[in-house]
Amino acid sequence: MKYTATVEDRDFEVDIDRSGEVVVDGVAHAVDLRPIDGTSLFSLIIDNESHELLVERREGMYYVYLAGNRLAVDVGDARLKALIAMSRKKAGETSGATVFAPMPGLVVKVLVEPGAVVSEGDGLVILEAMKMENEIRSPSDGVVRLVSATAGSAVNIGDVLVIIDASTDGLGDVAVEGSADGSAQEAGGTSTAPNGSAGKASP
Amino acid sequence: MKVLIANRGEIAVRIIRACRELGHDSVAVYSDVDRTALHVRHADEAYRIGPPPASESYLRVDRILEAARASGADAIHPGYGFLAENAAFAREVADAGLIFVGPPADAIRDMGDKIRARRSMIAAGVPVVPGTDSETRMSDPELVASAAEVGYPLLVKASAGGGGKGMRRVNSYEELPGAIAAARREAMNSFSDDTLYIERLIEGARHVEIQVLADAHGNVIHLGERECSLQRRHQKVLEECPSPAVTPELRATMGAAAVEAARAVGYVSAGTVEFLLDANGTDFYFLEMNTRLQVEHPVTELVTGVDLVKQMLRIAGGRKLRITQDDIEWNGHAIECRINAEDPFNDFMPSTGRVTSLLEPSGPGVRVDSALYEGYEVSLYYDPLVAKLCVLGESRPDAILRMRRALDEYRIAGIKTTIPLHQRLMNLTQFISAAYDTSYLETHFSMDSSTDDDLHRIAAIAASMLAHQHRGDVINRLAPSGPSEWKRFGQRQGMRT
Repeated sequence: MKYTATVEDRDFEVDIDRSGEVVVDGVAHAVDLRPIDGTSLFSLIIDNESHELLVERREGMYYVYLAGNRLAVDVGDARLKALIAMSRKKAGETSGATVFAPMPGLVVKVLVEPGAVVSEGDGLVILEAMKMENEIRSPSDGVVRLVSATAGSAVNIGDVLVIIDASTDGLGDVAVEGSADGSAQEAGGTSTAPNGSAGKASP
Repeated sequence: MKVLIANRGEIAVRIIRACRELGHDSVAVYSDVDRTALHVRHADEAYRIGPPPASESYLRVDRILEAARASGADAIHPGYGFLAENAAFAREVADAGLIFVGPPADAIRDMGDKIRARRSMIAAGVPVVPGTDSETRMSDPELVASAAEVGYPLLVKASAGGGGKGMRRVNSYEELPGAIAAARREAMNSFSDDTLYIERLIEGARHVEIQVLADAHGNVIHLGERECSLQRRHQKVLEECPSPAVTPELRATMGAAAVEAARAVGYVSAGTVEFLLDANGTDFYFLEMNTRLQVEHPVTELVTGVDLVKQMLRIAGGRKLRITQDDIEWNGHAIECRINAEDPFNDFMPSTGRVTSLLEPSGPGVRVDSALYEGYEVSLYYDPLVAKLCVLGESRPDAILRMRRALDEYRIAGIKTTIPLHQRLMNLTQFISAAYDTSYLETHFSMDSSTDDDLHRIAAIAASMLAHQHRGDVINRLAPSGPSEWKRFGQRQGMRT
């Protein structure tokens, strides 16, 4: 199998055959990858050079922690991605960014209201956790459709804070949904679960 | 002696270790999330004191005193944070007929109120940063008016503050109202007291602090300085002993000032006098005194060979200091890296979760003070500091090389930690040449990825191999039984299905 692995701006052509030989940009390497803890820690020997790395898979990207770096790797596999996207579409998912609480904490302040036009990086909510205030920022440009966070309330990791429509087209249907105590269920139908494909696993 | 430790995490473990070595019995207290924490497992006895929030457990004076009574403890060590600098707690402990392993309540009060501390330091002839010294609580308009006299840039600080809470840098008049409001809110939340004062910001200053030890018989000595200039959001990130900016002469001068500061408030036990050292490395100013054991106390222990926690326990037992100023020698160089459960690649967001894998560095010159074990759950209720990695080297370069090696050995999986930050720092020219001040991390440092092609290739290989495995898994999972588009797709691609 041939893959294109993009690390930062650099593309590597990686060919993995059944025997485990790995050819990178035309150069063959003896590679041995072993899991250590069964989840994220790996020992990797490339041509007798020993490395140890933490790897995290999130939203289709691989994040490799190595020597004080976090390297984001996008492994291109166009056909597989197309098929996964197709199966998601069938499952009826829609686009749009849902901002979840990245940690449990206390909502100190809500900075946006439904209908507000936001840009990527704009502050949405101030969350206090571990005694520090953290500003939760918008992941994309768009219009705030729903604000479920309320100042003074506690939230858990993964709770929906704000839902943002990707474009400004949806301005018309903003007002009605601005309920105060919205929780995860409310957003369940509209958010894009990163591992949405798994939902189709058991027929 | 039986000692109750009114704390949790790595510092509770540290104190229990000292107790055990001295032959004292140790008593742990714990909240519901800490039932299986290391301090509970290491202690001789353990008492539940409430639900996870600190306000309902580790800050509950009544429950801690109840645990002390139930266990028959003779003394209470508060560690750092929580009740460590709470004068009322120290008084209640004494009133209950127990020994408080720390300074007298009055010394905590005098130093804890930062405005009062400034005034008593001025009286004792210890230099302080120019700022406001009003005896009464200043209103917003009064603060704004005095800011003009102090001059910009300046710091708005909480009188009850510490650890950067309730503190804001203000560059101009326009920023002042917002900073005062934010500082008041944070101070009220953290300390239930929103009294503020203003200090001039000393640009390019280093944070250098002096460790002192005082017994109840009037003997006060200093154990030299710690360099704590690498900070983020006013939280220390890394500490060293000795400071690369301090000469033996300056050490003697600052040490003498610290001893005067301690004497001025009748200090007893281990304490730390924090100073700002100006960019020239000549003038220094009293910042505050921390009337407790410091997080970074191990670097002083490594270089001086003095066990500060044991000294605290001896002093609390009423004994005289056996060591004199002349006995204190500084050998080698120590560095401490604070390992926080935070994601350095995502604006240091707190990270929670289960530690799935843990391998701590060891070998020559390495010391780990940690609350972690495999299976330990990092919760959001407490401070993000989960471990401290310290090394001792013959010289500063030797210590840096040793710290690099130790960080490379350190594996914590399941949570994000600041280990990568420290790996970067150990390779940074500015750190190696000691050319940094307290603003360095926030103004000149980034966690941008390396451009090293070899590292990129390794990452590409690892990710491709995992993607290859994952692809097999996905195809298997998506494929319904029987012949299908998925299965044919898999077969065409030569996957092992």
